[in-house]
Amino acid sequence: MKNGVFALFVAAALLPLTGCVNTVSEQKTPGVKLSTDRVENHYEVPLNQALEAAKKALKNFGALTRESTLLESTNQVRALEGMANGRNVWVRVEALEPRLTAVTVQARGTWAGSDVQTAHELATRIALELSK
Amino acid sequence: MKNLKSLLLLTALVSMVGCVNTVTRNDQGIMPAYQDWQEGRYPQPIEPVFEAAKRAINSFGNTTREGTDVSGANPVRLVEGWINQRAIYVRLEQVQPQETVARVQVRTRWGGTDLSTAREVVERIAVELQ
Repeated sequence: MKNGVFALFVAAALLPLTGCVNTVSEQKTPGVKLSTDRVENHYEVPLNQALEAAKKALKNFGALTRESTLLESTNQVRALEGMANGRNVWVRVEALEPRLTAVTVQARGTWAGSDVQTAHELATRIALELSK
Repeated sequence: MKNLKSLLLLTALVSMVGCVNTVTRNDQGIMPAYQDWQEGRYPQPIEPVFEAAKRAINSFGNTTREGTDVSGANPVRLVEGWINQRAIYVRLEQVQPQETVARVQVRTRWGGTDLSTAREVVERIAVELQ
């Protein structure tokens, strides 16, 4: 009985450490969601303008590795993936209205932890690119 | 001793849980211990094969994502979708100007594989190219 209870506690403690975390690009990455790992900003610009700014910001901050078009949503959604500041980053660019775009930036570290500082930094760089 | 055995068993079980690599994401998760994809080679540049792959998935189910991998030297296009409640991942890589390699992976909701559907998609891409 004692062994069973002990094993259950260990399983309960270990299981969350082996999970998957949803990314803003609607994929999964290994990790644990212990804290916020994303920031969202809305800009009064069309999607393409926000997308180009995000691509430029990501390339200047780190490297862009992948870009995708998500076809499941009713809104137009584009996603970028890359590395910045040694972290994996995902950017979701979603057209809420013809001239209103939501940009969500997510960053996670090597040990699958969140890195909201890097997400903030990239979000700021996107805003700066948009203001140019 | 019994506790140690339980712990080892649990650790082994827990280590099997988690994300599995897909052919459209080469940097995430654990590679399975067996081949879970089918490969097809087509004597065409990447763009016609990419369009054919989208048509192939749409003929069986629906496309949910299309993308480009810009990290490698060769042009790589990615298509994802659903067929019969199975997730489909297609990675297309142009290895020569007139040769494109397609890797098709199919995963069930519980993480299992389905090689026969993957084979069907590989064949359907060839049919769509004609």
